[in-house]
Amino acid sequence: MERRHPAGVSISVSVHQGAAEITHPYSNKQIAGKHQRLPARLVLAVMLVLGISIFSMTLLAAPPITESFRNATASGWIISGSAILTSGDPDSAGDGWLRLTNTGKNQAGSAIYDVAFSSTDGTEITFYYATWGGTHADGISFYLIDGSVSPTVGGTGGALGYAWKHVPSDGFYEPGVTGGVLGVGLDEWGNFANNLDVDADPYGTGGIGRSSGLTIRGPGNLHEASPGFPYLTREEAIIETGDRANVKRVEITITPSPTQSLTVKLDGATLISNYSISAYTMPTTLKMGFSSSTGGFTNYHEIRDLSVTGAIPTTTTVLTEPDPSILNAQACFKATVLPMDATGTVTFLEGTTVLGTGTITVGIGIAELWYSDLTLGGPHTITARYEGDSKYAGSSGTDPHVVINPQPEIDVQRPASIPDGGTDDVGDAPVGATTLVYTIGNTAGTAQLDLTCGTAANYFNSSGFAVVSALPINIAAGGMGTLQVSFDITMIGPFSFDMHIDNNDANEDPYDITIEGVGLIDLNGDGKDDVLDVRLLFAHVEGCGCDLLSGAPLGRADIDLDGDVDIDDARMYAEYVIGIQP
Amino acid sequence: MNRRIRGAVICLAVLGLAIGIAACTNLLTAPVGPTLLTGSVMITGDRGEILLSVKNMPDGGLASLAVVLGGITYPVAKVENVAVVPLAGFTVLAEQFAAGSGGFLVAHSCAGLPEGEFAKLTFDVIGASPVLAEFTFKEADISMGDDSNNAIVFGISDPLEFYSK
Repeated sequence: MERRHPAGVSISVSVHQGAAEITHPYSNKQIAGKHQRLPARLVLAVMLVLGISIFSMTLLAAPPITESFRNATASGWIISGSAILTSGDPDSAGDGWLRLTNTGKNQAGSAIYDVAFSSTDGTEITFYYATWGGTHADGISFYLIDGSVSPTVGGTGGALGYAWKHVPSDGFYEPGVTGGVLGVGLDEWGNFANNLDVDADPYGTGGIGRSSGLTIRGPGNLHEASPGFPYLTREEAIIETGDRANVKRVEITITPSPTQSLTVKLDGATLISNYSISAYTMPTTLKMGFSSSTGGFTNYHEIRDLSVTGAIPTTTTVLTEPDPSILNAQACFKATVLPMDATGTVTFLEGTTVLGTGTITVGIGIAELWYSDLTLGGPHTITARYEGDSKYAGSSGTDPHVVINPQPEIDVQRPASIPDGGTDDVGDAPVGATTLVYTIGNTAGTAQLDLTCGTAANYFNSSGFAVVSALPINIAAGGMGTLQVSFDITMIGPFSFDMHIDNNDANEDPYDITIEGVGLIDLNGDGKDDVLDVRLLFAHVEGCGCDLLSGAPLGRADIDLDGDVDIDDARMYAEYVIGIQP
Repeated sequence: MNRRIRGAVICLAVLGLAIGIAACTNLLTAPVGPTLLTGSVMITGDRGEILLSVKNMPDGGLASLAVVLGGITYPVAKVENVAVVPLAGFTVLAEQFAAGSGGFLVAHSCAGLPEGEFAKLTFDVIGASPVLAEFTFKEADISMGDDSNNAIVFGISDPLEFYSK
């Protein structure tokens, strides 16, 4: 499968004694006539454009570098040959891909990022690709070149736009890229691993005859024999995705000097592990490119969501607060990135849907995103994806999360919180009518709390429960209210009853509290019922004539509830005081 | 005997006389504030009693006294049918004795008792005669009020301290 087509045309111009030569980038053949003279103004204009280009090429990008290729433009990228951005046509705007080739035969396309970036902390590159729709060839190369050179496109066909290709029999010679550092071939057909001298080892027809796999080639420059884009290693793998739905993720990690090594993962599976490339000098800055080609066999070759960062590993964890969160209420996705001096941004996603981004607070490694549009139910799987920076590689973590409907949350206090089913011990309380005031909290609620009714049952030495507060009592989410109730303690000694508060809390309706205490007849107002109160009552019964009873609440002294206060009450009270229960 | 020796003898005699007088008037041992006094166990035949008295009662004197259940204990093997008999115009409003312990409440409707007997415990003696040490009166379980209906802070003393004078 020979593919004799340029992947695109770039023009190099050299000025020679007032004239200019224009050459084809792959064959170095003159395409505008040897020593053909051009008007001086045109040369100056070209030089001016070149000057601007050279100036722009000296710009240094600081990782992280991200490019989704989902939109109609890709800043810093030179897209050439059959390559297009599909946003708007044929894909919908904002949902596009970098399509390097279509399914036509003998296609070649490239996208080169012509802005140098630092590699001093190593480099980690991740992207997604899809190969589909055709007859399974040829593949995609991702490659790195020296950041100081002006990029050119490499050979077509099995060279995958990175290496050189030589067809001695017809004099056809395609140079590799300029200043090539490393080529990673997603080699559907296997030719990227084969001998690049076509006559000596025609691609796919003999010799090595390698199949689909991931192939690594080393550095090279144009058609120079050394180092000549040497084959380094490969691992057989199914490269073709078949469709976009089965998009695959590529992760390329180059550790920084001096222990420089290469690791390549495909969909999380490590195909190339710590392959030493320390024999090669890594430039301090890099540029990068994608190329792809077809021949007699074809495929769509598409790229998305490229990210370039440093190579020092990080970890990212994410929590969602509150958990569960409330439908349509704000929830906070909190990502923690370690080491804590990592900088940059964290992208929060559900599946592949981007929910938003948060910027890491420098020094604590935390990025947050407040979000309120999760749907009811779950668990939702929230992913926090750290995008990396010039030093650190990206990483991600997930958190399962549930969204629930707004709910009221009742809490009854007097003054301490009394749990549903709990007891409110009111202690000593005078016999007779008693009033209690409860604070009703809905501070943990996310919907209005409605108290609609209060009832009582299981009276013991008590009766007459009533809700004094006007019902219903409506307490806004996060708010507080009061509930006043009254009842009668009918006898000295222990009393109790069960209070039920009807409300709209889903799991605490009714809210049940046992109210208990000890009824006392405190005739002298000292807060106790003791021998002094007995003597007061006795004196009253005996008609003593003393004024000790002035102001005493004798109405409560009908202890035996027979309608009058007499010696029987005094004796019953005396028995109660010494411990004989009535 | 020279004058120096005679002086020393006289001093010792005066000191001894002073100690004797103080002991007889309870100045050294008896509480000087409001006091509940428990009398000696007096047994006649198979009946026994213990007088209960007070002294130094404030504000018109003792008008009420309560001993919660358990505040009095007695030797159940020697004593049964314990009861309280009021004296000096007091009324027993509540009492309960059983299984070696009990309590009671007495009150005077219109007056107080500054000093003297206000009640006595009576009981049947079974077996050997009990002694006072076998009866206990727990101060923490006893409360008293005066005629102005204020609580009285008091101490408990035994009969020797009271009657020895």
